[in-house]
Parts: sequence; structure tokens; C-alpha cells
Amino acid sequence: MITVYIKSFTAAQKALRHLQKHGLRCAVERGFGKAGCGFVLKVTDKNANKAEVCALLGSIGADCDIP
Amino acid sequence: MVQSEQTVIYLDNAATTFPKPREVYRKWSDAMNVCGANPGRSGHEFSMKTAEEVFKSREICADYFGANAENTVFTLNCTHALNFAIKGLAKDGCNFVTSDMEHNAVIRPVFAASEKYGGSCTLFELSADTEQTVKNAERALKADTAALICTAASNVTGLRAPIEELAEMCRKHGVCFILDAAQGAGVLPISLETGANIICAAGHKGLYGPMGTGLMISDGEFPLETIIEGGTGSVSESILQPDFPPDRFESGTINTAGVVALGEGVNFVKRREDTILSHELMLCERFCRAVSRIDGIILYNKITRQNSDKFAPVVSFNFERYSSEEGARRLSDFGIYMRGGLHCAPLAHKKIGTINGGTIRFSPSVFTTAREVDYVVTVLRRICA
Repeated sequence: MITVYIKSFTAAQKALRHLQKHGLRCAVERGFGKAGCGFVLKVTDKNANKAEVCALLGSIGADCDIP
Repeated sequence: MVQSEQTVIYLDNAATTFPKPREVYRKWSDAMNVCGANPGRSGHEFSMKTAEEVFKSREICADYFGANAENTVFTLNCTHALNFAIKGLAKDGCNFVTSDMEHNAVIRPVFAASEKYGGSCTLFELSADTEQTVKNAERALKADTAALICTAASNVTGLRAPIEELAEMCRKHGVCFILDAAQGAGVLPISLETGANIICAAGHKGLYGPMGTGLMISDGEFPLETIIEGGTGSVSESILQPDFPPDRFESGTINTAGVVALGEGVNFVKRREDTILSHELMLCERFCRAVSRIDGIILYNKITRQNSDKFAPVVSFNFERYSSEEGARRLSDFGIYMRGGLHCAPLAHKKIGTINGGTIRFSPSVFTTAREVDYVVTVLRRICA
């Protein structure tokens, strides 16, 4: 599973929609990152890899903070 | 419309549209029942579901105005949005340029910001002549102008501003163009495509949402300072306000049910995009045509088929023998609800010579019928007889 920390719920939802559009299974949860409370995008798709997720998120201008 | 066993005709839609579409009531009621948790603050299912509903509404509103979701900020009303935009751009010694038809929602924050920052405000004349209006606005710009703020349409006379031309002129000078779309959103074709940098809109007027909702839509070209800071449910470790929208401008719990229902109102408008303006202008033309033949009525903006492209659907008039408030009260006795007074737009009244008494404002909605307008005309004749 790939976990992406995203600061805002709006950005997390946009990211979720975008990844789903590209066939990746994922979900948004509340989470805690470097800057405190925020949101976590969990990519549960077995076929997904970090580079692909980063590239997809980067294409919509989403901050990509993958531990 | 029937209220308290008396048939009433509501024509105060420029203040707040009423009634709302059925789906807006339904959505608001559902949201009150289902979206009961605080959106974006907790990780439990209720909170997350509520946040998802808010996001769906944000996307609907963003799509309608041609914006992205991040730059679609929910506010409490248009006044809040205008305060965010105007004061967010203010800095020491800056100048604001605005028209001579503005609402107090523009004039008051502009003057407050000018006073606080030792700046200035320059007014330009908004007229029915597009070229002249743009020339007037351009002449008013100064080297330190932070923004030009203009109403999409006067809430007193309905006179429309040449939005695209003003936006183009502002772009040429690198000046932020803030559009006050209180009277335009949902009625006139308004989106970021017009060239406006920031659009401020009321949710409860032409977008048919509940009161307590508004929008600040931005193209993100002009970063704004905040005027309210607080909890956003994000980057909580920092004592500084988030630097990313919409969180930057949405401190504190939002009007969740209102915002969710607003999305339904915007959907309603989207489905009728081509008919709302023509229907409401047709009613204004019908009203003006009939009323201009009644002795004892003064009409301040006669909307006709020939000039209707210059107006939003608002008509100002007075009884010769009564003040505007007295006239509106007499109409209310007949179950006709219109607003009298200055409509919070003293500059516009100074311009049309009604600052001492105001006007009565006829403002239909998509639900107003020609039959209702005809009844209003009959009552006006009776009062004037």
C-alpha cells in the first residue's frame, strides 16, 4: 500500500478522483503528517508504484509527500 | 405562492431569492440530518462523509464559474467574499478604483482599507456606453492601484457593467479585477472566462442557495492576505495560517448544510442557463411597459426589448405621492413584497437623484409569472387612482 500525505481535504479529494480515473484503487482518510493534522491518500491497488502515483499527482499539481 | 392563507407575490429576489427550488430544500434537509458532523476535522465516517458532500458542492460551484476547486472558497455571503478580496489585497498607500454604482459591500471595505492603510479610492462613472465606461475606468487607475472593483450589475437600476472589456483593460495594466457578482451570478453569464481575477457571489440570490452562503472564486493570479485566521483542520502544528486555498480562507466551521444545498442551487441554475435571464427580462419589460402608462408612477430604468442587453432584471420606481418605504408598505398590504429604500447603494441613488427617498425595487425570479406581474400592475393602478 502506498500512503500519500496531503495537506487539505480538497486536494486529497482531487487526487483521489484523479487516481481513480487512472484505475487505481484508493481512499482518503484523516491522518497526521509532518505539519500536523491533514489527510492521507491510501493507494491500495497492488499494481501501483510510488513513481507512477507521484507522476499522476504531479500532473494535477498536488503536493506529493510519500514517506 | 400562499403564505398564511394570503396569496403573496414575492418580488424582492435581488435581496434573496424566494422560494428556492424544491431540490435545494430537500438537499438542505438531508444535509442537516446526514451531514451533521464537522467536515474535515475528524477521521470518523460522519465527518469524512460530510467533507465529501462539501467537496462535491465545491466542485459544482467551481465548474460553474470555470475555476478549480481549490480556488473556490465558501464564504458566508457576498459581503464576506468582497471583504476577503479587497482587504486581502490592501497594502500601505494603495489605491482602489471602483464604480459610482457600487453597493456598500464594496464601498465600505474599500474605504475602511484605504483609511487603515493610508491609501485612496477613486470612483469612475459606469454608464450604458461600454467604450466610455472603460475609458473612465482606465483614467481612474493610478500607479499604485491594487484592484479595480466593479459590480456586474447595479442592484438599483440593473445597469450592467462591461465585464469583459473592463477585465481586458485591467489585464493590460496588471491590475487585479474583482467582480462583485451579487446581482449577476446565476443570471448573467459570469465565469472566470470573462477575464475577472476574483468573482465574489452571494449564494442566496441568483444561485438559489440558502442564506448564509457565498463564494469567492479566484484564478489564483493575485495572492491574498487573510483577514480571518483560525482552525482549518489542516497543518495544525503550525501557528501560521495555511498558505493553500481553500483552507487559507475557510477558518472555523462552515455553514455545512447551506454549502451542500448551494451546490444543488447551482445545479438548478446550470440546467436553466439559457432561460433564466430571458424569462426575468421579459417580466421586467412587461412590467415597465405597463407601469410607464400609469400616472403617478416614476420609472427610473425602463427596460425594453431594444435595451434589455444593457440590464440585469431589476427595475426601480416610485409612487409620486409616497416615499419608497411607504409605497412598499402599501404594496405589502396587497401581498406584494418589494423592497423600498436605498438598497445599501447610496452612490447609485445619488446618481439617479433618489438619495433622499430611495426607490421601490421590482426584482423577479425564475419562479415569477407574467400573471403575477399583471396583478402587480393592477394593484399599482389602484393605488395611484
